[in-house]
Amino acid sequence: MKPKSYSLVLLLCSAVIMSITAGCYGIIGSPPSGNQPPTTRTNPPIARAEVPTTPADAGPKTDAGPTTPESTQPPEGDPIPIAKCEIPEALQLRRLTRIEYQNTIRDLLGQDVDVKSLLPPDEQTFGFAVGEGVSLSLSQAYMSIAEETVAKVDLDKLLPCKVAEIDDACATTFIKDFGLRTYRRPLKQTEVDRATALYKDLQSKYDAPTAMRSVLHMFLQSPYFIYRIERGETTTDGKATKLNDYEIASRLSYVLWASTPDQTLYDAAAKGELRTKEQITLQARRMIQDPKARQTVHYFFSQWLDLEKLDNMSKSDKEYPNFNVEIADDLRKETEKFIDHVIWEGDGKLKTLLTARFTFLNERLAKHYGIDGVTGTEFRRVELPATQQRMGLLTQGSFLAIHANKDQSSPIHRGLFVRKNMLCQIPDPPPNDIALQAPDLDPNLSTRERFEQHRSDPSCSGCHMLLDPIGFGFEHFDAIGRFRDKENSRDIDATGHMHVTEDINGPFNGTVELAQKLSQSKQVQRCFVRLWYRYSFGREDTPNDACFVQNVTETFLNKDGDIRELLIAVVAHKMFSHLKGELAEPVGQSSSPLVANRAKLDCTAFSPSQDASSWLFLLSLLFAWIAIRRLRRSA
Amino acid sequence: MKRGTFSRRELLKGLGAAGIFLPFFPSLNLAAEPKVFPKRLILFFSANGTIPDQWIPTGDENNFQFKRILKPLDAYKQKIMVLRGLGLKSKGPGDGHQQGMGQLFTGSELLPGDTKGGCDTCAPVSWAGNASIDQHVADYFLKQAQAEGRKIGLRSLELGVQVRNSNVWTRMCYRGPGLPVPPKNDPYQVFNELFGGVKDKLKLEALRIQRKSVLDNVIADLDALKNEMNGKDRVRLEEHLFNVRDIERRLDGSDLTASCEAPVQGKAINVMDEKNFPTIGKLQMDMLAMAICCNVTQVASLQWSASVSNVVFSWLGIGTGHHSFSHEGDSNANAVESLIKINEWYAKQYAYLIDKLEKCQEGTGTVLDNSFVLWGNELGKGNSHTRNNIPFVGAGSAGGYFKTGRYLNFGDKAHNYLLTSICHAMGDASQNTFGEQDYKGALGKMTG
Repeated sequence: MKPKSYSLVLLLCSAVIMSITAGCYGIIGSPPSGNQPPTTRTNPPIARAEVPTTPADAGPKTDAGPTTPESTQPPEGDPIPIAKCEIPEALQLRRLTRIEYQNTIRDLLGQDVDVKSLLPPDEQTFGFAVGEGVSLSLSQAYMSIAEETVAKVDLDKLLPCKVAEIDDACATTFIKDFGLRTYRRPLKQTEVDRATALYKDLQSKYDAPTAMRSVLHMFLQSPYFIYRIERGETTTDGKATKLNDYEIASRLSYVLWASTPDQTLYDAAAKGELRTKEQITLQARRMIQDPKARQTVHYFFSQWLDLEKLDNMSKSDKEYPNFNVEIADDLRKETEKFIDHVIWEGDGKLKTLLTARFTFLNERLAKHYGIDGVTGTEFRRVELPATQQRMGLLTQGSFLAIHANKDQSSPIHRGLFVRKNMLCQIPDPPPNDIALQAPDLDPNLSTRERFEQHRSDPSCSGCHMLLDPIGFGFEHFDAIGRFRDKENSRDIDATGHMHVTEDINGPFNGTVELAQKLSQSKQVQRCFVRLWYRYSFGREDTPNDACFVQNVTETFLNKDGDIRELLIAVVAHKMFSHLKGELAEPVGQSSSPLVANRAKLDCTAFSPSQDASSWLFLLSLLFAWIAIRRLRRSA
Repeated sequence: MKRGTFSRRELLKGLGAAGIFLPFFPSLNLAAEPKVFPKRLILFFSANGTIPDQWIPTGDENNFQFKRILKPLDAYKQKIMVLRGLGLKSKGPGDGHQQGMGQLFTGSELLPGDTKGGCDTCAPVSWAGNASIDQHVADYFLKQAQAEGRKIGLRSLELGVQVRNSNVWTRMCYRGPGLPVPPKNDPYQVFNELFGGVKDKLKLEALRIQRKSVLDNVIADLDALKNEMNGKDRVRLEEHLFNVRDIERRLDGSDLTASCEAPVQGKAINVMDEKNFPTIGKLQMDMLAMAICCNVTQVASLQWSASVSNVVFSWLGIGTGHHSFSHEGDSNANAVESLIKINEWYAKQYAYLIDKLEKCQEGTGTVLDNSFVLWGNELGKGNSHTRNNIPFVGAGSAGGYFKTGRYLNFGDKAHNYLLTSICHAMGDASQNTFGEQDYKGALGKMTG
């Protein structure tokens, strides 16, 4: 047999086996029984058995149109768990994160602070910044930032009187007023007295402006300023501890503005008008009209998409000689402007973020993308050409370049993002002793072909079956976000497949079909709610407080995925105004697909030992791989 | 502004320039140099293990030859100890890199938490579970000074080269369990903190008084809040309080002086751009050596990147990330050769640092002689992730305590003994263990 025909037979074999085995995927998704390794996460416990149990994947059906997700029926007879509403014990002190600190100083004193270079990095919990660490560097930075910032402030504009005419009454009024805004609660009398004593002492030694600036230094270094403190009220609501009025004002403000409360919020807190769902909703609706809400949305998306990776991003000089920090910066601006537009000027929907046929470009970035007709440095709305398979956020260069290697695209990272950050399924990290290296650049193979080899290794195939077939859908885009039809003179194959999801299993071809699939998934919408939970509370949602995700997802779905309504729903939820304990209120009934899914993806579902069909599938992949290699050699 | 050389006298005259640290203010001791010099501890970290074949010297204890990786240390052979056969023996949660990084200088198990590593069966972690050796020694120096009524400058100085994020993979120094100390990445900022700021004596005195008053009030708030809190919140507030008190303490200046030169920094470059990794590293070493030679501090560390570092050493003609290569099998000649080059490059940096300390005269010897400079790594060998045989190298005798110029092989011992030896070398003889309590005593061989 000639090598070529031999290879073709192999390919045919592999295709046949693949189609047979694909039909068996239904059982692959079921929870493994018996010898599960102990659950390792300490808090919250994650049960592997909570992996979606739906046998939905019908494999590559020929009649399954990629834009119509295969519907998922909940397994019959399975009880629907009632979501619990118990708030876990958490830290009561959260240091302002870099961005919160920056916004707070700006709103209080009108000064900008370069927090990225002055403050140590924040800690992260599930991808979102949480101010946890304390250090000497931090305390030193607070001191020097306070001194430098306050030196630039015009006291005449800050004080209720001219600084030249300052008297004790003016000083005390200011201490009470500015004290409230820095401590985010009214000062106790002892605190007023102490600040006043500091003022008088330094005024007698130096002068009034020096003394008043020192008072400001003190406020800005006080733990009541640096930490968001939530202690709750001694009176309890059911078994739960409620936040006090000022704590609610702060939480509202830091979640919706990533900054400090304004006077209206303080007034509402003082009058006890932040207690009911209606009162909070009223404030929240006002707050999201304020441009400061954009800060929050930028902050959320920046963390979700890991946009900080664009800072100082470098790519291989050899592969991408024209990529530079200016383009990286443009990529971030494109995404920010696009998000701003969709959320604040457009319909605000997650669906639109994922499937919009337009973006924002300037000339430099348009040239980078190979899109004609854009001139000048200003970003403007540009309709995306149909030839480039571009649609929505996931086809913007920011996402594509961040989730890529330095010298080639990375189907793994792109697939992992979708799996983890859009479906909220966390696959096991790679085993300790496995090479994590991207395959060598082989000029004769496409990226896809090089990465296919992952799946021929049994120790990798389990998890990579859950990642790579999604990531391959992005193969029309290189590591710096440019569209390509060919790679190494081979046609791009951007066919992909979704496995082990609740409602979008099945094949797709390219980013347009992928985006449409994702935009129609309830699992994606619920995941988005869970991300907002993590962002807002600084912790992961647990089975014990699943009521939040359940209730808010219902609202989010009812509002057709409007993110502005999601922001409102997050803060209006009863859990938002409570600190800890179990909420007395029963949770609304919900239909099955909303049952909180905190599944950790079980890669062993795909391990060869689980199922003979997986072996066959792998065998077919191996055949295909050998065939491709042979074809290449004979070519 | 960032240029020029300070003589000791200029430094003293400028009164330090207040910056944040005010290290030389105000009670400068211009008396003759003391006869007994302070001891110093310096930690030096590079990641991803070594290539043992080219790291292990040939020959025996007193008569040995460096192979390729340690060859750059040839000129300092008599002041060096190669410490083979020491490993991280703590168990507990975490994957190889997490444990390696968190245990390296703390000698104890990591604390549980919710950060999952790259290993199926490893329990998730938060941070290291003990103070690191440098912080322990810094505390010891401070207590000792306070007991003797002396004033010292900065407790310790942590410098990093492009250390990103804040998690268990990126922190090696700890003030205590769960209390990581972040390294400073920006040499220009550090320079300004040490030597920038107010020069006018009157203004400086005013600033000192104002800062003291302000910090007294901040401390009152911290105290009040601390007393209301429990658990982890309270621990963090106590740490916060310690740090603010430490700033206040340093407003009174330091009694220690020495001759030294400030580094020339040149035009500022992008600190986090990977292409600048070698240049930023050099600037940090200059800063560190100056801070040590000038007695700004007695304890310092330099952390190159972090565990799992994936720096691309393009300046060595290497196109793949360090960590990616470190996983390759021994049969991959290209990977092995690249890893040798990378580790050899780090040896050159280590040589540069000890050379700087060697050039600071102190009495009849040098600052290096009064120091111990420990080079560690979170792994022994990259592709096996072993924490046995960490490639430890020490330089300086800590004032004649260690007998240098030797290649010591301990077989397969816990590195806790090394950490205990360091306590003893720094004068803290009461310490019988460090980290894990099972490993009692020090490494007798190190002293001769």
